[in-house]
Formats: sequence, C-alpha cells, structure tokens
Amino acid sequence: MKKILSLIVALAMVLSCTAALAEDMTVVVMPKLVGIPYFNASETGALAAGEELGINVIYTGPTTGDAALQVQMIEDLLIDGIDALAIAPNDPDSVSPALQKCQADGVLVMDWDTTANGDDVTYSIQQIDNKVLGEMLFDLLVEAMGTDEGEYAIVTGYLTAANLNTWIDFGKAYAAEKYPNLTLVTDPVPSDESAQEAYTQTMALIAAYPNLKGIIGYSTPGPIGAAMAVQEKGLQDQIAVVGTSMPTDSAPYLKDGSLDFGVLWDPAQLGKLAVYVAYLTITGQTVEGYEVPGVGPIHINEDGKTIIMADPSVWTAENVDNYNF
Amino acid sequence: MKEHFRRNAQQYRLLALLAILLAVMGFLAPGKFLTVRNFKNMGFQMAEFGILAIGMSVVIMTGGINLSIVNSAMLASIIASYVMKTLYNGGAGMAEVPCILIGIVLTFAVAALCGAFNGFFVAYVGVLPILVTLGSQTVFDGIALNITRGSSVSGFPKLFQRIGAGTLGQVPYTVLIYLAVIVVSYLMVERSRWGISVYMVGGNEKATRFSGIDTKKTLMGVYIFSAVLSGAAGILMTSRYNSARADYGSSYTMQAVAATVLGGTSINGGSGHVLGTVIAVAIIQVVSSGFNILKINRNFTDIATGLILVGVLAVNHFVGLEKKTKRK
Amino acid sequence: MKEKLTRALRNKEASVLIILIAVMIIATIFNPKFLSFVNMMDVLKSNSVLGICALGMLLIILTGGIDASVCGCLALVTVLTGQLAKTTGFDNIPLLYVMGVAIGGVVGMANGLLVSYLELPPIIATLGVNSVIMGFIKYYTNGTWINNLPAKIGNFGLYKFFAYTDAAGSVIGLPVQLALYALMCLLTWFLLKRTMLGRSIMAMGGNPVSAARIGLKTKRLTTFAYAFAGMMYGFAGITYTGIMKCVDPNAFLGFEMDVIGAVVLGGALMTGGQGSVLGTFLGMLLFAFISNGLTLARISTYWQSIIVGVIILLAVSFDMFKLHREERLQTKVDIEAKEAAAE
Repeated sequence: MKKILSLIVALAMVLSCTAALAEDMTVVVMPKLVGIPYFNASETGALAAGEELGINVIYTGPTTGDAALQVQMIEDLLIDGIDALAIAPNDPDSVSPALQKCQADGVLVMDWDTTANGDDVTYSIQQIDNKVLGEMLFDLLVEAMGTDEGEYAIVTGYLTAANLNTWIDFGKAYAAEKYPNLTLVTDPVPSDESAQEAYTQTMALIAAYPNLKGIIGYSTPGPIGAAMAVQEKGLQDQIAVVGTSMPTDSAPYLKDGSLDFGVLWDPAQLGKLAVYVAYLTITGQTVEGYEVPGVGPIHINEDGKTIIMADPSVWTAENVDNYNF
Repeated sequence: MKEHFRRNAQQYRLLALLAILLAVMGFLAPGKFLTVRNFKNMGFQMAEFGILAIGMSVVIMTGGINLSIVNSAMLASIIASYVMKTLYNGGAGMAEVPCILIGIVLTFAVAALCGAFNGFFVAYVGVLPILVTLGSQTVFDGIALNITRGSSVSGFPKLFQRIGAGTLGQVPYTVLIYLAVIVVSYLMVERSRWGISVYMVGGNEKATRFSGIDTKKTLMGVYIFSAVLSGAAGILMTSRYNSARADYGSSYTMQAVAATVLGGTSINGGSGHVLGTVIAVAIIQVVSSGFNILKINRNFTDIATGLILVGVLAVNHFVGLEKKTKRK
Repeated sequence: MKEKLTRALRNKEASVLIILIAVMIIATIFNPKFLSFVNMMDVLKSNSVLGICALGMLLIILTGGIDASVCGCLALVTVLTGQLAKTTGFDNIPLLYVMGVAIGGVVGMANGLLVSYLELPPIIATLGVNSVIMGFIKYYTNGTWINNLPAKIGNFGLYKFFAYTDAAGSVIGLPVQLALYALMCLLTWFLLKRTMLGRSIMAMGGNPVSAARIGLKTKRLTTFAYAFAGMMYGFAGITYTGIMKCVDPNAFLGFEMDVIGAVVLGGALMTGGQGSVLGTFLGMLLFAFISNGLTLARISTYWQSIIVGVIILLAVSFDMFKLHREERLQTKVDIEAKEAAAE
C-alpha cells in the first residue's frame, strides 16, 4: 500500500511540475540509460542549466541501454510536444529514423556524449574529440608502463557499445603506428559495465598472460575493477592500469598505485552545455563564442555542427581530490 | 452469451483494465494521449513486442519457455542485413525490391533454423526448455557478436524502412502485419487440430503421447513457429531502427514472459489465449507510452508494470477462490 | 564394489562431475596455470557470492519454484547496509551480516507469501517484486556507487587464512569468502539432510499433493524456502561488499540467470524434489571454471559466449542421453524378464 501511495505522490508531483511550466520551453536531455553514476552526474548539470535559464529541462532515458526502448521514448516524448531533444544514442543507426521524425516535427535535435548520424542532428556536442581520447589513453598507458613495448589487454564495457568501440579503434590504429612494439594479448574483454565482472576477468587475464604489463579499461566501472584485481595481487609495479573512470570512484586505487591514470571529463558540464546550446538556438541567439557559466566559451568547429567541450581531464593520485563527481 | 462472458471473464477483466488505463491517461494528458497521432505512434511500437509476446505465449502454452526469442530475432536480422547490404551495395548492386524480398525470406529461414535448434533439444533430446533456451540464447548471441564484432549493420535499401515507418491511410503497416500475425496465430492455436495438440502437450505430455499424437513433432512445430514469429519481429525492428545489432530488444525477453502470464496463459502450460496476450501487450504499451508522455521517471514504469502484473494475478486468484467456494 | 561404483556414476552429481573434470583437463592442457592453487583460490573467491546465492536458489527450485528477484534482493541489502556503514561509520561485521540476512529474509518472505498464499506463479511473483524493488532503488540511488566504506569492511574482504606472502609480494592463502561459503554449504546440507524441515521440503517438491495429504504444511514450507533463499542472498550481499569495498546498485543486473544456471547445471530438477548441495557446488564450479578456463586458454571473447552456450547445452543433454539409455536398458530387462517368465 505504501508503495502505491508513494507512486501516486510521485505522480502528482511530476504532474504539478509539468503543469506549472507548461508555457515555457521544454528541452529533453536523453542519456543512453538512467541510473548509472556517469549519466547521473550529467543530469545534475542539465537540470542546473535549466534552473539558470528558467526553462523546463527534462532528463529522462530508458532504464537499460536497449536501443529499442530509447527509440520508443523519443517517439512518445514527441507526442507530448517538445522544443529540443539532446540525445546520447545507444546506437546512432537505430535512432536515426526517430530523430528524422523529430526534425520533421520542427524539434531541434542535437546529440551529446555519443555522436548520432550527422544528418540527423543540428549540433553535435562532444565532451571530447574521440580520436584525441582514443590516442591519449595509449599515450598514458605507455607513460604508466614506462616503456613502449610489452603486452597489454583491454577491458571494455559491452562489446556492442558504439562509443567505446570507436575509442578502442582509434587507439589501436594509433598504437599500430606509434607504438608497434605494444601487443594486444586478446580481443577486448567485456565487463558488462560491472566492476565485479571486470575484477573477475582481470584476475583471469593476469593468470593467463604472466607478462602482462598494462591494462586499458573502458567504461567507468572497467578500470576500477581492473585496478581492484591488480591491488589485490600486489602487482601495482608490474601492471599499469589506465582508463576512463569517475574520480571519486578511482581515488582509493589511484592513491595506492593500482590505477595509474583516470581520464574523463566532467559529465555535469556536458549536460549543462547541451541545455545551453539548445536554449541559444531556439531563442535565436548566437551560439558561437557564448560564455557558458562554469564551462567556458562555446566553439563550433568548421563543419558548423560539432561543438567540442574541452580536452579531457586526467586524474592522478595528486589531483584526484580536487574533483567531486 | 452469458456463458461466453463467464468463460472469458479473465480476458474481459483485462479489457476493462485497459479501458480504465486509457481513460486515466487521457485524463492526465488531455489532448495528447487520446489522439490519432498517439495511437498511430503506439501502433508503430507495439507490433514488434506484440509479435514476440505471441511467439512466447505459444511456447508457454506447452509448458515451456523461450528465453532465446529475441536473440533468434536479432541473429536472423543480422545475417539477412548483411546479405541485403552486400547485394544492394549502396545502390550499385541489385534492385531494391528483390533485394528486400531475399532479405525477408532469409530472416525467416534463419529464424526457423534457430527454432529447429531449440525444438531438437526440447523435443528429441528431452531437455527442459528453460535450459535449452538459456544455452541457445548464449549461442545465438555469440554468433551474432562474432559476425558483427558488436557494431550495428545498416546500409540496406531505403525502401526497407517503409515497412516499419510507412502507413496505409492512417494505419501503420506494422499494425497491419501485427493484425495478420494475430489472426494467423489465433487460427492456428485456437482453431486448428495442431492447436489442440499444443494445449494437450502443455496439459499432460505423457497422456497426449499415449493418445496417439506425435508430441515430439508438435513441440518441434511450436519452437519453429515461435522462432518464425521472432523473425517477423526482427524484420520490423530492423526496419524501424534501420539497422540490426546483437543487443537490440534485449529488454523484451522477460517482458514477453510477463505479457503472456498477464494475458492469462498459465506458466505451467495447457491453457491460455492469443487474444489475452494481445490485450496484455496493449496494457504494457499504454503504461509505457503514457508514462513517457507524462514524462514520469522511467523507473516508475518498471514499478507500475510489476505492480499491475502481481495485482492482476492476485485478483484472478481471489476470483478463482470465490468460484471454488461457491461451487462447494 | 563394482555395483557401488555404477550406482555412484548413475548419480546426477556424477554427470556434472564428469563434465567438470573434462573442462578442467582441457583448460589445463591449454594452460597449466589453470590448476594452480592461486588461480583456484581466485576463482572460488570471486564466485563465492554466486555460490552462496545458488544455495538459496536450490531450496526454491526444490519446491518447484524459481526466483527472479535475486538482483533486487542483493541490491536492496547492499545499498541499505552500505549506506548505513558509510553514513554512520558502522563497521561491526557480524552485525552487518545479521542485518543483511534480516533484510534479505524479509524480501524472501514477501516472495514466499505471494507464491504460497496468493498462489502466484513463482516466476511472476518474483519478477514483479524484483521490478518494484529495482525501480525504487534506481530511483533513489540513481545508480550512484557507495564509496569510502569503513576500512574494516575492505580488510575483512581481503582476509586470508594460513596467509603468507610470496616472493612477488602477493598474499597467498585461503580467502575468508571460501570459508563463509563452505559454512553456508554445511548449513544448507544439514538443513536438507538432517532436519525434518528440510526433508519435508524435499518431499513436498517431489509430490506436493501427497505431501499435503500426509499432513505437511506446504504453504508454510514454501514460504520458509523463499525466506531462507532471501537470507542467503543477504549473506551473499554482505560478502560481496567485503570483496568490492564499495556498493554498485546496478552490479547484479542479470545475475539471477547465473544463479539459476549454476543450480540447474548442478542437476537440480526445475520441477522440484530433486537437487543437492553437492550438485549445486559442482554446478557453480562448472560455471566459474568455464569462464575462467576460456580466458586462461586464451580464447577470443567473441567466441567465448558460443562455447559457453554449447557447453551448457551439452551438459544438460548429457543427462538426458544417459536417461534414455537407462530407459532402454530397463525396457530390455523388462522384456527379457517377461520372456523368461513366459518360458
């Protein structure tokens, strides 16, 4: 009974919110899925921007990273009438027909976090240049290993994750050129976005490849799980671990050396930027050069579409305590 | 007439629930929910899941379960997509229509093979369906991953998108396909001799075998039928998402089980109605679309679906109890 | 002697054991390290949570039920206790275990009541409970990890019996999780084999109608089985927090399938009445060793899931092939006996 009650209360709350702001502009920011720390952080930024600008920002997405569910949500939200949609697509191809429907309806469509197909969006807001990040991880790996030869392994989120695969591909192509003596021991190992699975898999990798010198972890739980295994084995000095991780989650592992470098951007700033760009475009203001509070000036690339937020931040044992997400 | 209502009371209760939900959503989202546009929208979305749910229902009627239903759909779609893409070759190859026809036939063929794979283990080896399909789910998924290396396949004829996006007047093609599947499934399951054997196998396999029905053949047929339906759903999904990837629709499997049971099919087999599943699918769709339109946090959709499921079954249980005591 | 051997081989557990040994031999041929003490301990440690949950699931499957709420139950236990430990610095390990077991027990009890008194099909009742719990947990935590738990919890997770440090600096020994798992195995074994309660559950799963007729309180027994399973999940949840030193509310998505898989691979019958602690243990080992062995054998991840699926199918079919053969032998014996009688 209590559950039903709280559901009704929540329902009423949501309803009263939408009713009060119905006159205003509605911007929907849709992550790949809700309920994971990374997208949780970007929600904070997106909602903060909504408050600053006095517009109605709705942050919603599917509860699992299923492309089919995401498409349904876009279609349903379109029924309600929205002004802008900023989407982090689970798969660029799968949302393409739905995004075209939005554009035909006069909705401003942008992507953020993961790029959609170019024709489907007006702006593409990227936390980072995918190529830069992909290559940077390999540079960091070599720096942490202290040598540019030896065996390394990749622990990824899901084998089907489009953005992770992009980074891996850019990185591998770069390494083939610049670090020909690095050898990838096996295909990327999936951790299903779970630190426990990454830990178990890394344990097996360490046993299988005794000469392993480095691990690159993709997806935010990946590097943590890998570092956990290295820490437990006491191999901080033998195996270098770098990867994309949230600073607060990585702090304990950075400090004892089991994780050497964490790389990411502030997802909150990304959410904020997406809302600002939508607001500026709809109200007909100039986007280029606008100073977004706490993020900096917006710069649009030559293609007139891509907005890259900043270079990624690298956390180390020394600077990790300066971040709070 | 009265007899008809009494025998199908469970389905009428579901229908009433659907009507109530429609009214509530219409009240909460005035001018948005009860519109042609939204119904069209729900029609586009419902078909793929509805077809999968019917495919699941038929298996559950025999007392089994098909956990690999989405995986066979996607494996078939991925293979067909590859072939279509290669044949079409970005417009330089084969003409659109024959290319699409080959793709569709191939989807059904691969799906049927997947079904035969399940059917072989269930009917001829005699392994429990949940175990067989748990294993085959991993196998199908593995093959799909191996082919695609995790990325999506796209680049087939533009015309193919029309299947999932086109309309006849105001009615989406997907709805027409869904209706056709409902009619065919209804006739096959509830109005044919084969259908009777399906229920009998679900009720008591041994007795059915002794009554002279080839239960193995029936079971084989059921798993192939289920997989062929999954192939149809795969075609709709590939068309709607203009691509195929190993993990599309991964959330549909357990939802299809839920829709089946919500629709009145006993998880132990031997009973159930295609139309019950269809109504249950509509209920889940209305909740999902309605909550999205109301912009309610997605987690509440899961909660509400769970509560409806348990609630409806509890009501069915109490009504059943009452009847039993009355009879006494 | 020979008869004893054949009878032992005919056991359900024996076929699991045969496949398990085959997998181990193949893995060892590919990479001798597979059999090393360190690797074995690592595998057992990281799969102890799976093993403990499987013990709970075993009881449910014995009643002919199934539990799809493992994920929700584990998430609820780890999030509530984790939040408590973080905000108040509470780090009394035994008390945390008591709390975990209590929370899990309540969830399990709810499942059990829905199944036994409302007569809901188990898969649906537990699926419903799971989506409700997970919905609320995801709504309130937003998936945020609970970090910075008291150091004592992490240290407990790292504790090893008979530990010594090898030349390379890693600590080798018997992980505490293994001891906890063994303890739970013994407890469940004792319950099933040596108590009236356990034996009643076995009997009821085999034939609920006659069990009711001989006066067993089937509803209470069913509720107990679900509550016991919930308590096991609670125990496993705290153990998990000890290993991971943090709590991830999403960590267990899809975990129920692994747990069910381990139990049925171990020879338990989904229709109830058949299954054992030993079989479940072997099933868990099979599950764990396949995954570990494939990585150690250096097989590409793209092939791994195909191979896992094929092994599962082989394992479950193996039993049936054996059964068919026995049936045929049995009929042959019957016919021969009849012929002999006719003569």
